[in-house]
Amino acid sequence: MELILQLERPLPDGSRYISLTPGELEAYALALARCWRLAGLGRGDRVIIFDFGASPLSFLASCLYSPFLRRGAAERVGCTPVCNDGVATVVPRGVQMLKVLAPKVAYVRADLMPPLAAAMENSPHTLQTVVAAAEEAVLPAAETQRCRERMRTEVLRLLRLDAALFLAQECPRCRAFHVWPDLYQVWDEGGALAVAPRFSPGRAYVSTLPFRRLRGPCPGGPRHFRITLLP
Amino acid sequence: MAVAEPFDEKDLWPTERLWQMAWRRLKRVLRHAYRRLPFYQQRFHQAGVTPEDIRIPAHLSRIPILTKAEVLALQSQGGGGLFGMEWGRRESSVFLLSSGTVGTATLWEPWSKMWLRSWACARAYWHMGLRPGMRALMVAPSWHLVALLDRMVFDRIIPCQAVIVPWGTHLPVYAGHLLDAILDQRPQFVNMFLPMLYALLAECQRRGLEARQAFASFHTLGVTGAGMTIKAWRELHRRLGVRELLEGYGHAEAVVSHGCSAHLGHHLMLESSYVEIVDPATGQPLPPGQRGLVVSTVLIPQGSLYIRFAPGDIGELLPLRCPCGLPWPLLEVYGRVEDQVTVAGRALLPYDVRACLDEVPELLTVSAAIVRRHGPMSRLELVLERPPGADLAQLERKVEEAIWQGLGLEVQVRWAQALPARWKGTPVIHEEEVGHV
Repeated sequence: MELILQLERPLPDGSRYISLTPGELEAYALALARCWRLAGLGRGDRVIIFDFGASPLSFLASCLYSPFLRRGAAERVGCTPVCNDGVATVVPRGVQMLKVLAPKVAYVRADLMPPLAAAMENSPHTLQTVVAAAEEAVLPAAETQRCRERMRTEVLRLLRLDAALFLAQECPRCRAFHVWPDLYQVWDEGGALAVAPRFSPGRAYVSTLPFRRLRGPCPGGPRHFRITLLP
Repeated sequence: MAVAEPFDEKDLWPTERLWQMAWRRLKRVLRHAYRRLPFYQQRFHQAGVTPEDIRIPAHLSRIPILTKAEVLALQSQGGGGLFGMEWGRRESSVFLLSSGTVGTATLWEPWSKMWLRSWACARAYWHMGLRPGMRALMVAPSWHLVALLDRMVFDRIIPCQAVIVPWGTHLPVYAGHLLDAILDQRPQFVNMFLPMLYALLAECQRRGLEARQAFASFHTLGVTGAGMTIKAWRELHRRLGVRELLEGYGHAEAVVSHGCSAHLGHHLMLESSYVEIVDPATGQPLPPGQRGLVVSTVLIPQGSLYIRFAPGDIGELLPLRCPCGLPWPLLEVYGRVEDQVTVAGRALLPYDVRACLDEVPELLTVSAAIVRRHGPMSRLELVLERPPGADLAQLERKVEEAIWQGLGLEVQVRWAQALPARWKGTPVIHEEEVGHV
């Protein structure tokens, strides 16, 4: 049994697919659940996801969405998710859902942030936090600040490295990206961020992202690694 | 004819017994709603009816029909997605979206309801040819009911060797990703929306790829989302070369049904939904063989509960026993209420017109649009895409003859070099739009 996902970008070997086992799905979903908690989600909250079914933001969100996944992020945190597609044409539908379902947090493909910000700017409905997620990229800081102002809400960033089943999210307290050392090994490879999931060590990946590891703990997660991505 | 490979013993029951099972479940749902759900308590009270008053199917008309417009009006009042028509214990759940031409409604669906409902879907997929160990492609987006049902079936009921999820969504603009996934991963079972299939065929043409070659791995291709005439289905089947090309019909609120190789409508999975056909004008029930409004009730009393819900589809229960041997009753759906056009006092759907046009072999894959005028229409008006090299005068005579024979109506035909992409299929357009061709 395997879940085969077509990737947003090809892997270094040119493949466009990644095949996940049930064990990998469980640990990967645990990482997403920790991102959700970092964004402030807790039991009874609702979360809206603006992304495609093959994105980890969607397929790890609930065991109702993904074959072979027993506990998604929603089951671990106690939230109820709703998905919207990751295309700009359905952003208005997502904004309508803000009114109907009153979600606390939205997870959004970074390329949808401008249309979502434009739609929310003219809407009386908002959320507590919007998390902008991108694959091997993050929303630029200036753009993030503009979105905060237009959306009238906290905006955090999430980094995906799909080849390594890696998720790291910006913390609202320290603004660093938190990484969970029990799930991921992180090292410097010529100044670039390199990661390997401890639950699937064969999937190590060297990114193109320059980074710096921060010292000292954050109250938002005293045992988390903290990294900052350099421009 | 006996069913060669029944999914379970219910596939061997007589149709009457299946209806009796559905009726018992319907009664249970009505009692549950009356006792526990504020929305339905008020609705039953206002109608002056209790579940005990509903003793035979004809009594169902005493319960008001629920429309999407009503649900959308409830949503607009707030309520956080819960309107007093939901029931469930604390368990994993999601909100689904029921998107359509009139707006997006939300449904709250817990795991246990999806689990029970997925058995109806699994039965449908089994009849369509899904078997354990196959490679299945999931095309539906996560907000759609089909994605949740696929997830349950492919994982737990008919375990697949691999489930493939393409990048993007079911919009035609992502057809390239989907075609890549089909060519690279060679799935055997695929259920998709008809517009996406047409987009895939266009993508094959763009790449100079034979559709038969692209779909060579398919055992079963299920398509939903639009009614196909039998001739259009045969032509598509010939072009695709797949072993089984089958139509499905369903909606997030209640119905699961599937076509079979006899192509006489859709087998209705009565374990999860009860279906009535009613007169759109009077709301009175219509017998099998008469076309009317499809009204359905979900038979699993959990999550968002839709009782006597009319999604706006026009269909009929067919008074036939299917030659495929399945006892599940046959439902045929012809189109949507808002697409009806009245010509010379007769209500027509695009399906009716398409069925006539398909009698003209040269027009089998030609797009056509039906013109709707503000005032009364004494004759049918069509805009047809001009087939390359065709003798238009002769073709026009054939169209006139086919429409007269099929519908008893006169027709005026206009030819266009090409119809806009959004008119592909057989849409209804307003008279103002004709000038844009």
